[in-house]
Amino acid sequence: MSEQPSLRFLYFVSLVASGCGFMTQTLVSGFWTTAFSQDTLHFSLNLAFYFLSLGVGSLLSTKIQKPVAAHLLTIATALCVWEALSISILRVAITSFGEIGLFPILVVSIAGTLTGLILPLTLRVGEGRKGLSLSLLFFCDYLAAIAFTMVFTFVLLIPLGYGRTALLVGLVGLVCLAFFVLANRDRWAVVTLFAAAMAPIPFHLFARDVGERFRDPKDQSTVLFSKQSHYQKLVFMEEKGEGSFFPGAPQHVLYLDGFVQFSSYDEQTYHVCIANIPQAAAESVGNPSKRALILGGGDGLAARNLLASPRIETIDLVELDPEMIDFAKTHPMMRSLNLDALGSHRVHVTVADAFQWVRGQHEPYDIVIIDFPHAKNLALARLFSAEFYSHVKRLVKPDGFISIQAGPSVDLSDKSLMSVAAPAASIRNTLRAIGFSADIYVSPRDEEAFVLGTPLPNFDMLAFSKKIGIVGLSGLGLICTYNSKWRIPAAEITTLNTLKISSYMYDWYRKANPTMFFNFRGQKSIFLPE
Amino acid sequence: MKLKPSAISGKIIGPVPDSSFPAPWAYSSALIAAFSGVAYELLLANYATYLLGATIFQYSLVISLMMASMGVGALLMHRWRYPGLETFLGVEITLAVLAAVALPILYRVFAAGIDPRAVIGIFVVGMGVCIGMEIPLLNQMNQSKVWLPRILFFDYLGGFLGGVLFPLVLAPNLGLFRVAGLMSVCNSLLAVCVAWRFRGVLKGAHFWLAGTVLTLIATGAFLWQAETIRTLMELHLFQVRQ
Repeated sequence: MSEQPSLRFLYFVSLVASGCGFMTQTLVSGFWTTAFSQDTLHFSLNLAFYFLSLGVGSLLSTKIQKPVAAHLLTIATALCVWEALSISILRVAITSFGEIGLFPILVVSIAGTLTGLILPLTLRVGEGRKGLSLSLLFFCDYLAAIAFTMVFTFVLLIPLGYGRTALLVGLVGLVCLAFFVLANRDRWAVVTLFAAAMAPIPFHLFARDVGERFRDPKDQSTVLFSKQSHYQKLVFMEEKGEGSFFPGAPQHVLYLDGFVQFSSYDEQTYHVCIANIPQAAAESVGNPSKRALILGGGDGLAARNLLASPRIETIDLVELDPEMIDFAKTHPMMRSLNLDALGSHRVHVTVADAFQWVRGQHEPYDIVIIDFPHAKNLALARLFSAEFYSHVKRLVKPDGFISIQAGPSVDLSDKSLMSVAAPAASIRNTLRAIGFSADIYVSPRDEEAFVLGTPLPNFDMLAFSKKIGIVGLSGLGLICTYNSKWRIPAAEITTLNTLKISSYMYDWYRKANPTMFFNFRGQKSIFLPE
Repeated sequence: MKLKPSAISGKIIGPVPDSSFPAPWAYSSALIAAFSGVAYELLLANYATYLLGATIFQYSLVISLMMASMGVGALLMHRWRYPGLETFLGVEITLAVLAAVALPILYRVFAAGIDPRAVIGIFVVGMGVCIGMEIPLLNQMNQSKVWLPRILFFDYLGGFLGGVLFPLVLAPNLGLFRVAGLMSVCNSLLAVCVAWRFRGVLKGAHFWLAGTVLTLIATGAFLWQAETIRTLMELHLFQVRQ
């Protein structure tokens, strides 16, 4: 490599390098986040260490001696190879150690250090040349970062997945470098580049075998359906049941991003709580309960429970993920579970983000059911905020009822198990802050909490529970339980300003399993993205 | 071979006004600029997530638009022949003001039910351009004195601190309003310090001193009353009683 490469080459190396570096960061963050289904923590850790290592690389660049241009090419090549290997390394780590550990940070830090070396070195090589400026190099850097991220999220993620995208991007980078070097008539450099390009391929093929689920070899469950949508990974499994009545009988479980959405073993109790309790409450105050709204709940199971009542005339169902609707409408096992609810003429399905949708609606409903997954990341937590509920409030009739899936029911730090978990308390307080009457009830079998709310100022939850017979101390034998003696912790309300519920949710998970966001121990199913 | 600092700084654009920072000033400026830059980026990305949903599409659209604007900011510095301290002060004041007004305006838009994309876009582009100008500006003001790799190191260190502290410590404990206030005070405080330290070489020093101090007072007042403003807005726009 001559010491006077063309300016175009310098800009190009900078573009490829910062693109590959940023891509490693994006891919590894995405992979790590998906494995634990928790966005804020892993994303910010990864981004932060990427930045820090960029700085370290930039400091290290002063140690690099002549010939700088040749070193620059070597570093860019190494970075492309590292990018191509990144996801494979994580997979191999998982197969060899059974854990992902802090490998993502290691992989990102190495990529960051290499990327950080590039920018100062490029300036050094081009020193004193007209037309080379730091500003333009920065522009190239930003441009590359955008271009790579956009291409990944819009084009490559769904068809290729993480592993193959990493390989493809790295190889494309290497081939581009090779073309530029070829123009410089440096045969040995080209040969080295192609040799480097070959190296990640066998490693990638070797590492691909982890499969989409990291599981115990003795585990006998089978995957019936698996699909990566734009929003989440859906996996539908047939597992050997652990129920006490029919041990070993198959049960069907839907996982969204690795978290259980429902299990055919106990989904009935959950959906009676979320769908039939508000319905019964509405009927108890003389509401005709004709029009119902379901936000989330694309599996159609809550709709199934509502449809059992002939009084229901229309159900509007708003679900974010079209793949979920498609799956619930067409998969034979799913259709037999939800009794083909989504095909009913009384159900109208809208594919939209619930927050966006409620902002544009005005027609009120008798019953509103809010069935989102636990508020474990920002995207979900915003759907538990006062701002969201104040938009929903416009859609509830003055004698209408609203039921909300409110996370886990029991505060594990209270040994008597009489305390309600903080996330549910925060939701109750939030609803009260915007003028609802609100109370917590639980489904004891799957330990889920729900909040029942109504604009009626003096709704008596205890009287209603006694009337329909759901008052109980431990809830043994009951499907849904309400108890006025539960201790409800003082929890702050959730607004968009702080999103307290995601902190409460995070604390709850940490109490249940202190290391759950960093290792797989104690977790039954871990789903790794492709 | 021991490298001299000048070997790396790179001759970039034309002559530079004689207003160069001493190294500690440049390092701390880079640190503060990067810290608040990342905080703003995350702040707007968070807000866009609330409004538009954290569908991968919209989230990456916001981040990309921000980075594109940063690129435009850097490009602007490439075209700008004689940037100096005045430009730097202007950039800091603009950022401080944008940061302070962003959340109240977004809150209004949010409650009104109008499409928020254009408004978010304006803030993303405005702040992105300013953030993108900062590092090339610092570099140009210090061509002969400061090592570029060190400036970059402090820039990235600021990014690191912002990336860790914002989502894990600042946002959950202080809330977005107070974080926005805090960052905007940081920017204006930096501007005041720079204006005071270099009042001898600034063109129109009185004007800049007055301007930066006024900005500091305004953003300080915003930070002091951030919670009151927020509670009032929540009460009026969403009927939330704390």
